[in-house]
Amino acid sequence: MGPFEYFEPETVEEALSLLRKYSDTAKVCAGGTDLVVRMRKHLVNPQFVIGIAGIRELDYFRFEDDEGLRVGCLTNIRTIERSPQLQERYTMLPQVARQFGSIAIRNVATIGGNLCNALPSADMAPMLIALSAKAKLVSIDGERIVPLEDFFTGPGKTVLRADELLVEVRVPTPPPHTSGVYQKYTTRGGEELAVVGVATLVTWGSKDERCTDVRIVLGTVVPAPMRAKEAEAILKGKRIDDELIEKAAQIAADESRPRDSIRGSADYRREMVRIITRDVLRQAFERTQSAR
Amino acid sequence: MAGHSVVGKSIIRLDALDKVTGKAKYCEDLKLPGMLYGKVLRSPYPHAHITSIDTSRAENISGVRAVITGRDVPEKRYGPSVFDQHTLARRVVRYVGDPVAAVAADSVEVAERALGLLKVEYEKLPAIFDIEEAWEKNPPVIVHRDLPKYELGKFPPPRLVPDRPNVCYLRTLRHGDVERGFKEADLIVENTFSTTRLQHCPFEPHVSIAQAESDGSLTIWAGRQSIFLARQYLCKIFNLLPSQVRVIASHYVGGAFGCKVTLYTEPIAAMLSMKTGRPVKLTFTREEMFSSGGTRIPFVIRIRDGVKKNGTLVARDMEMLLGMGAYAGSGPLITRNCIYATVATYRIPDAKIDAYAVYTNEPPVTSFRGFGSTQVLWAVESQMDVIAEELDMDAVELRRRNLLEEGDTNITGEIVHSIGVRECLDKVADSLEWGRRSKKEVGPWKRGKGLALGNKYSMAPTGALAIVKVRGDGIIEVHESADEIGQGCNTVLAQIAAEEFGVSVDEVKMVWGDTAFTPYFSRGSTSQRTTFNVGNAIRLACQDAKRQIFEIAAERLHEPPQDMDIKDGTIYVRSNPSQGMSITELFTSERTLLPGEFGDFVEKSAEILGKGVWVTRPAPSDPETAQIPENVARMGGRLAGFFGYGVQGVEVLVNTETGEVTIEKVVAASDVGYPLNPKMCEQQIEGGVAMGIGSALWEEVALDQGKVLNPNFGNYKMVTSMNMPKTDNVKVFLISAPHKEGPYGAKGTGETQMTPTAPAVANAIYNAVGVRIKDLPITRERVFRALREKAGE
Ligand SMILES: Cc1cc2nc3c(=O)[nH]c(=O)nc-3n(C[C@H](O)[C@H](O)[C@H](O)COP(=O)(O)OP(=O)(O)OC[C@H]3O[C@@H](n4cnc5c(N)ncnc54)[C@H](O)[C@@H]3O)c2cc1C
Repeated sequence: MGPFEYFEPETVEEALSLLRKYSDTAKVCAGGTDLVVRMRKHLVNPQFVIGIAGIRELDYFRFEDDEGLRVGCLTNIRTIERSPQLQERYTMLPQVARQFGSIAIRNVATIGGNLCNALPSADMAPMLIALSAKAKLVSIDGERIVPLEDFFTGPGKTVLRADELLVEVRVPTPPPHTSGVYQKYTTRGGEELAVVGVATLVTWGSKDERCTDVRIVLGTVVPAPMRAKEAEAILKGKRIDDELIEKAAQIAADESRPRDSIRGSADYRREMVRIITRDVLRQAFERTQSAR
Repeated sequence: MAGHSVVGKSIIRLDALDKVTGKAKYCEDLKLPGMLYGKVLRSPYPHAHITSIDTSRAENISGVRAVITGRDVPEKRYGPSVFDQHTLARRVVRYVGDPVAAVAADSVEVAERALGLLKVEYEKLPAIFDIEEAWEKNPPVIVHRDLPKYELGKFPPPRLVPDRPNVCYLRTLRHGDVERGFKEADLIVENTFSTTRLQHCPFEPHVSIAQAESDGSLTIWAGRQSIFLARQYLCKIFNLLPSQVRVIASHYVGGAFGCKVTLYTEPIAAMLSMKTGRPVKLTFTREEMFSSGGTRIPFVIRIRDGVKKNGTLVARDMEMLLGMGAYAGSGPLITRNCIYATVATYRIPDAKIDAYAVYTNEPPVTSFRGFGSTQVLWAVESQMDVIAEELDMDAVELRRRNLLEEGDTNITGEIVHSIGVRECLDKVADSLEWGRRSKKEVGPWKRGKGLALGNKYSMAPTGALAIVKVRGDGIIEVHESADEIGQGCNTVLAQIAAEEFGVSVDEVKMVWGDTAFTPYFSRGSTSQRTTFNVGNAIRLACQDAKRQIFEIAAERLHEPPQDMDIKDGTIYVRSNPSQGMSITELFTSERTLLPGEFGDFVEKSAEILGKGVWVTRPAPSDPETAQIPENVARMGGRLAGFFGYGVQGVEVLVNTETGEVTIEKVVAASDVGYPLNPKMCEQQIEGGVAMGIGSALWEEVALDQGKVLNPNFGNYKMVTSMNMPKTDNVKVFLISAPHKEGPYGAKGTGETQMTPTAPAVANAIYNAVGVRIKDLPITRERVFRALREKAGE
């Protein structure tokens, strides 16, 4: 690791003015589980590190009646996993969190860090995109709200500016009769980054057997988490049977863009996209149906 | 065994408390006054000439105390068998990670920064990576052009192959007439199997601290295996006498599994210390462990077997290529010994084996739990199942039919002794409900069972010394030089001493690991030799000490020493057990003396030192046929110290859509001779099974043009606790086929345990879904592709 100067601001304002001052030469450190690894490998060599873990006002989640859930960027994954309220109202989020790293990692890894680090394999991203979540980005000049769907621009790349902080994630309340399932596929099983990650969110019409809305979001097998819109399109408004699910899964696989890597060849990973998409769709449909 | 009070009991490890509380000290914990930190610059190319090195910028940054390059290292090459290595590359680099220069600085960070300022220019050379291509008679690249001119060691006796310039050692075995054997066969089965590189992944990476002393001698603190071997190598490299090199095992070593026999950090740290006069610590990063810390040898194994219709093996022909990487290291010795895996278990009338050690421009390999046996058994035990399938015979039945028995002659001419493999097989087959079809299959998941036999010899020659010092307070102090690498050897060794004196282990104190003070142990704790060899030396040392005690006691008790025995710290007369005295009474005069007086204490009992010497020697064998002469074998001449046996069975679930494999159940039985500490034997087995599962399914140091692609635990997939079957589904059985020379019949057991796992898993996968994977690891993608291929047939 190269030498750097370390700051520990106590307020968001303090952090923002440091960010404005040092801009590209600085890096924000939340849990540090991505940043420190990257610094040790010299993939980033910030001259200034701004540790935000002490800004306690950023560690929260709460429910706003009209706008749904708000999660402070410092909320760690373990909190999301264990919260009874989230389990009740946003079951799909703890369901994602359980598949994330190990308990030790979940205890320090933050939701903000996961999104800002923007690896294609970031586990929180696909489900949050499926839920139409938005990120609140602030700088000394003000704030902007960006849908997560537009937040990621490539592997490790986002629309976040060097002087901005992602302070909050806003997740609209899912419509009734909605359920979501995320599944992560790895090469070993246990404490790994995803080789394929697929999130799906399914909403049923209240009267008939039709699926009124569906989201399929791919992670890892794309440069940045991405909706498989063609696959979504053939399901939306339809009566769902297994044949249609198989078809959608195949289309999602075709929409994915995996690369050859030591974690698996592109062919294999594409085939796994098909299988995982099929499985999460089946599970989500089963869940919504049994819930009705 | 009846009559034993301490051995045979699962006492708690002596180091348990220190380890769970974090008090145990490892080399990485040591910090000496004035200590500097070393870092190594490594080659980015698999094969290149070094044309220039500019060290000036690095030398000029503050905190840098020394920079060394190939120009500073001794001209003479060294190595365990083929002397092919320099401490730092002098003119040529031969793998990505070859050390080129080193820095000592006030901190690791400064040293790292200095590395970045070293300017090395290279002229790239063509490189070779494929083992089979490198083995050819006219390979496109020769890794060591001067190999014919290199000095060669004596162990193993050198054997080059002049028309194969990348081969640095050849091992051959000829037993009977293999072609005749094949003529008698009803069925000939031929297959090629391969294994891949694994890293040992010890918790503690390679680390040592070197201090060049002002009298020209050298002191090394090292987290390693085999302090005396290190001393020998260092003497050779630096042209020093044994008494000028002191190697101190820094108490505990954070795991080794074979990789810490080789010198990685010591000579570089030593050179940096010689240049600065200060102690220098050199610790490998995890990345360096993968690129330059040694890996298991990748094998290509062609195996051809002839069998009768009834399953009797009649001939076996094996040709094995072992990829050494760029330097031979312990590779030739592994090439020599790996064939023993084929020797140990089955009767084979006619056999032929050729094993070649082949250089490539990949990272150098080293010893790894199993020392080649594991790779050979991957082929042999997979092949046994293939044969069973082709004969339409039960795989257990086929094995039973061919097992060696006590008193049989194996394919080296050795007469078999202490072989518990049949009993292991029976136990495993029974516990796994062999032959009963698996139940509970859901969706794409199919169930299957498989098993395999494993074995591991313990290498001879081995020489071990032990000194036992009886203290005035009754404490039995045992001095020995086994390496406490996490296996817990000191607990078992203390049990042996306690047993000999009839005391509890609380009365025994272990002192180990310093070439200046603790007695010689030839190759250290490698080749599962510690319990057998050091254990025997300790027994003898205890007996020697007791003899002296009885002589002193005889004078006081007026009874002949040969009538005496000892129990619970009390010396007593056998014919009249009420007559006796405690050990402490031997020393009472010491305690009653006033300061300054010493009475007759010094002459009488001040130092009771027992000494034990144990040597295991192999029988001489023919260098080309590997055969032990018949008369020598009949006199008890042996190939190795002993053979340990292990049989493992597994039940797997295989997902036919994704290729996922989960291990549902493991049954493991092992012949340990006699379990001196049953719990610790079980732990060795469980650890071996875990490591075996990892090696079977995921582990692989992946290389591209000689460069490691996954030098971290994110992408190098070790087994985790989540991949193991539930505790209730891991069943372990200890089998005792006592060895006549083992301490209380015991044999070593650490290495055996990984040898059968991978083929057992492969056999179970075949049983579940009908695909035979011949290359390790059996990744999900490999299973998936094999299933696709099968479906397309
Ligand atoms: C052993 C291990 C296992 C892991 N397993 C998983 C896994 O299973 N799934 C997974 O998705 N990830 C995994 N990760 C990656 C990592 O833990 C997660 O991405 C984590 O959520 C990152 O959060 P953090 O708080 O540690 O981020 P940091 O490391 O502190 O930050 C990451 C990046 O985001 C920036 N940043 C952080 N917070 C903000 C903010 N509020 N505003 C602007 N920029 C910010 C930082 O500057 C940095 O560039 C693993 C990591 C390790 C070491």
